[in-house]
Amino acid sequence: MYGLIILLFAAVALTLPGLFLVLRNMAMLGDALSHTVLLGIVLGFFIAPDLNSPVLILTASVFSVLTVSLIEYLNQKAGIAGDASIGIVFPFFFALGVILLSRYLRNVHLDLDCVIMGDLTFADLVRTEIFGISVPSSLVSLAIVLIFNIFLITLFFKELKLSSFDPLMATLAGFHNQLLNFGLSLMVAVSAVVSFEIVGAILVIAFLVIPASFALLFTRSLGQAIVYSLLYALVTGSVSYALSWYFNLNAAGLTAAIMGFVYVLAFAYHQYRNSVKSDRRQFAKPSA
Amino acid sequence: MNARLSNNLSDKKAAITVNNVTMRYQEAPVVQDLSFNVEPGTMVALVGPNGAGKSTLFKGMLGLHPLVSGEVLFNGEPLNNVRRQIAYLPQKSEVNWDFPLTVGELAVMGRYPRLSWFKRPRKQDKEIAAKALEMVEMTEFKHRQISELSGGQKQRAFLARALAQEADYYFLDEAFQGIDVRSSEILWEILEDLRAAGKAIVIVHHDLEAVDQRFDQAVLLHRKLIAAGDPATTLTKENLNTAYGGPQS
Amino acid sequence: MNLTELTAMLRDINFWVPALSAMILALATSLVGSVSVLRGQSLIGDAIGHASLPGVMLAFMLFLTRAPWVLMLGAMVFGYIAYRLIEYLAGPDKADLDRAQAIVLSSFFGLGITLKSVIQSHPHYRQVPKAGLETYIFGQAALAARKDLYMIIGVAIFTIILFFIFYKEIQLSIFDDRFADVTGFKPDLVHQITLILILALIATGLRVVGAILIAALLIAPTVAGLQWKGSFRGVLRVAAVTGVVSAFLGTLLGRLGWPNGASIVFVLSLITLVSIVIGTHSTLRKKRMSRRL
Repeated sequence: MYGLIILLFAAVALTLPGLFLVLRNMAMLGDALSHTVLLGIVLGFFIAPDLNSPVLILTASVFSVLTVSLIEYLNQKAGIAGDASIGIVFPFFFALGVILLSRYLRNVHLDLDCVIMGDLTFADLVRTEIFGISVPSSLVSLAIVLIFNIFLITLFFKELKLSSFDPLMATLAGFHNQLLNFGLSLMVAVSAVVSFEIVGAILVIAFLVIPASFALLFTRSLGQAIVYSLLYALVTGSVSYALSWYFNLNAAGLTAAIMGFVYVLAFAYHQYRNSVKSDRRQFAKPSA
Repeated sequence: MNARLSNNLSDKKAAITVNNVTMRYQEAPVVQDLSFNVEPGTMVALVGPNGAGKSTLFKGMLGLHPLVSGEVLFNGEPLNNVRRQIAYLPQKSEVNWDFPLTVGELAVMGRYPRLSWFKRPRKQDKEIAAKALEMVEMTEFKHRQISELSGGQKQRAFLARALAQEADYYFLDEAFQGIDVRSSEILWEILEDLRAAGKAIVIVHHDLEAVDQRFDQAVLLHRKLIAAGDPATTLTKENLNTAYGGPQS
Repeated sequence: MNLTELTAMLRDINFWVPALSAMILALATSLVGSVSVLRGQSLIGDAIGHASLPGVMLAFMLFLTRAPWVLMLGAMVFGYIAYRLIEYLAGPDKADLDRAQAIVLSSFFGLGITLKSVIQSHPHYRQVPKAGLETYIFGQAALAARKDLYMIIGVAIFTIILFFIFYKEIQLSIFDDRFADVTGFKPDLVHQITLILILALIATGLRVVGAILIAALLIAPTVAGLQWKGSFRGVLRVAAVTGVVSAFLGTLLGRLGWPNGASIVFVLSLITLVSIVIGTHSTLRKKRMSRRL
């Protein structure tokens, strides 16, 4: 049961920053971040060999900032196209993470499979006592990150909105676009670190990108987009979790697959509706 | 006509000075050693062929593209002191029309430069935005998403955002391209009101015919300044030939 | 490891067969990868790489075999579906390419993981040997099986030959689609051919470096080449050398107990990053020169 709650907490924590990531055309940066987090975690592990240690969050955050800085540097200073610079930085960091992991942390319970695919079934094994009630520690850290994300997005809503929609006006108005990019990446990275162990890197990407993209097909305002994307993440998350439990399948994988499948259907419907609309417009013109 | 704007705007005079500006785009010089002035209460057209550097100069004046040398002053002050006083209407192709944003929200956005970090728009800001929408006759579309508008309505919505900003300097990039007659009338009326209130207005413009009727000044450029001043004496046949490549094309 | 051990290894046929196949594969990906990098669609390879995983799993489930050819064809089919789906979701003007790639990448990979969990738990697959399926995600610890190596060499040589047969057309289609159209080439046909080459290389490369890192083999060599040369031919030459050298050194590290695929990508990325800083044709160097003047 805790598995589902943890999954839904991760869904909300990731969907919120994901919406702005998608609006700023940074979805593939989210992909890169969820991979490079591995290197941060592995290095953190050398300092504090405990998967639940906050040191891991710190080192992974440092690496996410490093990832974004390096990608931006290659892109803006070294003249390398945006997606090529992503395609150079993240395999480098991920490969280094894989090498270190297999060379030095072979006996540690930090499983590569787990990093990518997640493992919800064991998510509630490590527990913490809060007010005398024993709850999974991952739930506690996810809850903290979730509250933090909600807080930050509420606080900087105006800045995120303007700079996502009209970066030129945002610059004119004195908003620091780059700082907001970093902040957003940091938010994504911290959420990814906290949830990777449970939901895995792949579901991290899926939660970042798919609910937001779904909502953007049907909404006319940003507030509405937030509500729709959260609903989408929660509903598909719960349904997928139930199915994975019933059929004994990998929950993270199934959730990502089902979210993508429903998105494709929604996109096709959206295209169909638009074509009907424009047909109608064409019919209406001669008479008007 | 002026009355509807007067209570919204300050009386501060707005002038722009462009001094010996040179700009590059990927190593190649695009704007060379360009100078001109915009007096308070005037409307200036930036005119020139495609690739003449109009948009680059425009962005350079707004600090959105680096200057290699030269300076741009607003009432004698550098951009940083007045950046919140500058309203900007982007070119249609630069806007992400699929962004989840309603016309009403777009107008409120005009208030953002006046709000510091963490501050959210208040009731007063929303009233000013609503008034701006009324001025451009867009109130009835306030709940529409911005892609669900005609070309002219889109420009009016962005003008409403600029009005809500209550700025001193107005920059418009190709604002009159592909818009309907009614929208064009509304835009001109409001711009003329702003001019009467002493604001400085700079417009990247394509249609050469309207320039001498509408504008106080024309700046004709093709990499370098070819001529600047009164539209009638600036846009002479000879000057236009120099800028646009002349009779041979 | 000392020098005698190293020379002994360099004389060992068991080192050279996997090393050579990795090198030929890297040569092929360096050449073909240039097409997507120069077209400005570098990450399409990353998306296709991830998205091929369910193809591998499904091919195993259907045919109950680990034969590399079968699994490779499965990967190619899913890579193709993923490519078409990304095209569809990105829209006609490719405005939403970024999110389309991320959506297809994560959901297809998710499907692959789901199918893998089916294979692991379902009694139907209990009797079938399935060790090694996970190498399609992270690559192999060390290349060994002859069957794999023959397939890798075969596919790589095939793609290299096709690349050179269509060299002129590919070059034209990269730099000026419209011009290619006017001169009577069919850019669409060239697109299809390069797509098939990319799909085939990704599907075979999965076996070596895995679904997550395969993109690096396609992207990094060309980026390195661009730092040294200005002509297409020159870029390809440097890219090819970069790819081949990285594959050799990576396999060498693999022999020392490093994970093979990750080592190749690690060396490749290092060379590319160094090229970006010191390359004679790099933007950073040009900037340093103009500052000095």
